[in-house]
Amino acid sequence: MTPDEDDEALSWAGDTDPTLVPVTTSAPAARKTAQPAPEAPVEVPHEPTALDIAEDAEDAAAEAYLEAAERDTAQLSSAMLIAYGILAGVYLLETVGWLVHVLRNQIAAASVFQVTDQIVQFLAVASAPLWLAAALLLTRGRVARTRVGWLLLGAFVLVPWPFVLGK
Amino acid sequence: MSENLPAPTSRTPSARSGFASQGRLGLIIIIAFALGYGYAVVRGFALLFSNVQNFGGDVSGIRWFVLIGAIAVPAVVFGLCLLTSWRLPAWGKAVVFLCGSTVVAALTLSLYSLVAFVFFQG
Repeated sequence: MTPDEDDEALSWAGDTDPTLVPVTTSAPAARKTAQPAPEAPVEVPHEPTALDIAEDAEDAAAEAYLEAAERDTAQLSSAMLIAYGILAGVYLLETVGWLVHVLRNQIAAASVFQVTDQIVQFLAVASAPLWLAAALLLTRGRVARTRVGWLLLGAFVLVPWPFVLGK
Repeated sequence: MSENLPAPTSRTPSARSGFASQGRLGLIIIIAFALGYGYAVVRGFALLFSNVQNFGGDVSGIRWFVLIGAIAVPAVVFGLCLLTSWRLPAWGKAVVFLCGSTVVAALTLSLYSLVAFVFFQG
């Protein structure tokens, strides 16, 4: 037997196939060292997209709606209830004052000017209740201080001076 | 050709300013009530002229204040209503101007009664 024949007897066909080389523990380490070192996380500036803007706007609208709803349904304090009651009474008295003045000074509609004077008298009687209604209607959702402020202004402006002066 | 296109403008229909921003209905309401307030101003001038004619140089002090007030009240109230209702919808404008016209009526009657009180009892 020749030495070559002995070597052939101690080896298998395909032993040199590289795919059959067992993976050693040093291989992943080598791969790791081959890779670049992990860098610190880079902060990419986040540009708001159209969807983000729309969502923010929707959130803001919902919050505003909820705040308005809370204001509308908020229970009035006792002081505010008393203030509203007093102011409603003042407006009622003013309406009565204007009504008494108009009934005392009725104008016969004989001419166009007298018709307009009648309209002016009617508007004067309607002034107090209309201011009350307009103030309550147009200040919905506002703070109570604003509503009371408008009601106080009307109470001072619409004093029936002709009635006060005895006309 | 892009050279022939008109220059872009930032003026959009929603960004209109002045009275154009009030809408057609809002303008109609403003003009309609302006006529009524204008009539009140004319009546104030009539009261002033008649008193000057009747009393001549005797019109002074508080009397001038009352007579000029009869002219100024409708104009001032109209201006305040215009400012207050500028951002309101058409129905809000109507409510504000109607309320203002009743205020003008009440104040005018008060001033007329003050005129009578000052002239004949004061």
